[in-house]
Amino acid sequence: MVESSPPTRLDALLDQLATDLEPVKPLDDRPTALVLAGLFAAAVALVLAWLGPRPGLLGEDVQPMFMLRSGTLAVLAVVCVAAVVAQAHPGVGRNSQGWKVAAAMAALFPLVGAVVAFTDPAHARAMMMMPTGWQCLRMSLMTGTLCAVPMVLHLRRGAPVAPERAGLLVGLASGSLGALAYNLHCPFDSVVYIGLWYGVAIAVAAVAGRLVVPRLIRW
Amino acid sequence: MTSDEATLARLMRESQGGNAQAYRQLLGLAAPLLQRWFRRKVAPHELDDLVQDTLLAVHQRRASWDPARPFLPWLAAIARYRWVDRLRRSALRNHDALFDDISVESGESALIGRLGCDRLLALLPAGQAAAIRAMKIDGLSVTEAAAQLGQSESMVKVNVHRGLKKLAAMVDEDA
Repeated sequence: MVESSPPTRLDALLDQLATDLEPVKPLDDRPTALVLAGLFAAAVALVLAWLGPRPGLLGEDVQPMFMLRSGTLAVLAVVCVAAVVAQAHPGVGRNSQGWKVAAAMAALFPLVGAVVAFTDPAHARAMMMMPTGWQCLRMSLMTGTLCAVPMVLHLRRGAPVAPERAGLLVGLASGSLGALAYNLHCPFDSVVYIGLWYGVAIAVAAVAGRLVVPRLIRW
Repeated sequence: MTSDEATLARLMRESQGGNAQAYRQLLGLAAPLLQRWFRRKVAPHELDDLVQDTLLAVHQRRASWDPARPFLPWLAAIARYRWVDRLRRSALRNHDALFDDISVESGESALIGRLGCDRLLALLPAGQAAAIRAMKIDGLSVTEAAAQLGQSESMVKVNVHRGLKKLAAMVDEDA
């Protein structure tokens, strides 16, 4: 319509696309959020039923370290999930960097853990040898992988223009959701233990997401 | 019909609802926009393909536009994704085609600024940006680019590779 020249290949393509047009529903984030909430609830139920709640989970002697850990993981998970969902709707100039702040705050745990480990090497060695660390890692990654599924499906329906970053965010989000679920069982409140095992679990999830997810969502 | 934000957003809303006429109009307005955006961004013989690529992407991903948000930034994000993708893919091929420089009509700096490809290139280290411009946009061979830029041939290749990688990461990063 803008061109006055005779019909071109481009015009033919545009006519074809218009003929093929079918109504679409704008991609809605809410169903994904609901499915994710459901899966997370299932992960929590699985951890509590299979491994049991940590001592004093809701009792009077609920530990400050447990609350700090839960809160940090929850904030990281919520911010990263929101960032993942936003990646499905691209737009130049509307990129949010909030997840970096949340990740930096969460990184205080491994940082403080490392400092404490240096001042108390015997304790650090004991925490490193803890066999439950592997259980923490396995459970967090298992339930985290489950949570990654609806996020990947959401990105596949959307138009992520930065697949690598979207993948990293899926990893961070699902890793922290998995760790948050496991955290309800985990009886250890040592900052060295938390920094090491939770840190490794989330880092492994982030790396895996960064490496695997872009292949699944590239278009 | 003008290609301003309000008109395009209205047409896109109707297109999502299945109005083929509005959609044809929208595509007709978007095509010349994209042609102007891309004119200095790819080798001239790739321009038509890139515009069609982008319009196909718009078609396939039209559900990802959120009607509550502006249309042009969405279009620009998709156009940029397609542009970087094409640069990367053409980095895998070795084309030494010759072509004339096409003049660009004036008064489009605002539109080009909106797409932000120049701005993205400007964020790269000078050596990388110059190597990408020489090889991927001006279409020089490695030897010619090396001679023109005063970099060694392997340096040109490394600069193109690193620059494209960085560019891909920045597609939706700059504000």
